[in-house]
Amino acid sequence: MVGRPRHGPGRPPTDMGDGDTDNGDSDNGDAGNGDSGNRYDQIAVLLEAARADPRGGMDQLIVELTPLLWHVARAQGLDAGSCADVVQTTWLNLLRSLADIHTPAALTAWLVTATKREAWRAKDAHRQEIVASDEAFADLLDATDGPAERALVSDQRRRLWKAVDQLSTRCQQLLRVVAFTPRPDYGLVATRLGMPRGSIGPTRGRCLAKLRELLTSDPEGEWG
Amino acid sequence: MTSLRPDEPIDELDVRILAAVRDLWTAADPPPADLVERIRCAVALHGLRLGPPSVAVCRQRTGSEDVGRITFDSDALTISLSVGVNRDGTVRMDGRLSPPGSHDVELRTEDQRLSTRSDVHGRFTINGLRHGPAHLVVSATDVSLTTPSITL
Repeated sequence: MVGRPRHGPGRPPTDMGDGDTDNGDSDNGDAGNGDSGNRYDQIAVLLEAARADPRGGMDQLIVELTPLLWHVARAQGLDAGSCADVVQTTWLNLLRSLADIHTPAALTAWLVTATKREAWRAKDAHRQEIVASDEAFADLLDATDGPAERALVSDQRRRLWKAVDQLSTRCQQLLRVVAFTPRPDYGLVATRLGMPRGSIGPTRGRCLAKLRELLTSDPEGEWG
Repeated sequence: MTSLRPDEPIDELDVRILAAVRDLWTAADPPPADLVERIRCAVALHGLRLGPPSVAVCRQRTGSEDVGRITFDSDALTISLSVGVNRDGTVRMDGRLSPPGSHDVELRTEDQRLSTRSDVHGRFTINGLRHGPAHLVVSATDVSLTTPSITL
């Protein structure tokens, strides 16, 4: 049997258990991409399994969505060790709210908000300001892939990073998180990160539009 | 330059760009390799009578490499394992539970579940194992402990 988790002091963020009521709009229309649609459907199935058995049924959900939580936490400028604790705490907090969450969109919204808050709480506690910036990419650019693909891959990445680097810090953070969202949902993620939302539903959004313009206007690139 | 409208639905190229951004960050700043296992362990232990969720519960302490000693700590129980390789290539696991007691012990791998019971001193042995990932479940009277995955 699942035990009744005792609540830690002041833990559950009360204004986040909004279920799927204000996120239903995010379910309208597909992202125009089979893969993201499939991933969304898959997470819907995993969510049901987790709701049915919160302690035993969350394994796959944890595998699927931990990268999203990791990048939400890291995008807040928190060091890696603290981010690992933040992500773990967020999953444990989710156990208490799982009953109120019915759709993957609601789950994403809850997790992004909870992770962000936990990261800020940790930041306040540690008073650490370590922002992942160019240093993270110095390693990236040297990363070795398959020998045959290495040049091309690093050239693509270099171009992409050059374009990303021209965006504002907020846009970089937002796109980092949107890129890991089950159905790339700019509006939903922007709202939960406390950023202006262009419109409702899975739209391109200002930051992605800007990045796309930068990439497609590069005559040497292959994004045209 | 053609002007893109932010309020248009994302299309196939947007999705490709986001996938590339995802690859970029996956390469630049991936989560720690053991993070998912740590979280699974913490979730599995949550709500059991272990007090507040403890990060320490789910960290493994490894000793010298050749002996293969691993200890899992929790408030309720400590599981000490030593893992060795037999001459025939199979793996032997000797364990000790502290505080000592006779409890059901189950080793779970991808394709097998092997059960035994610790003696009154908390000692148990599981032999003839194949190499690969596994985790151990110890069921005491009112506590069930699941370790993170270990590689035999």
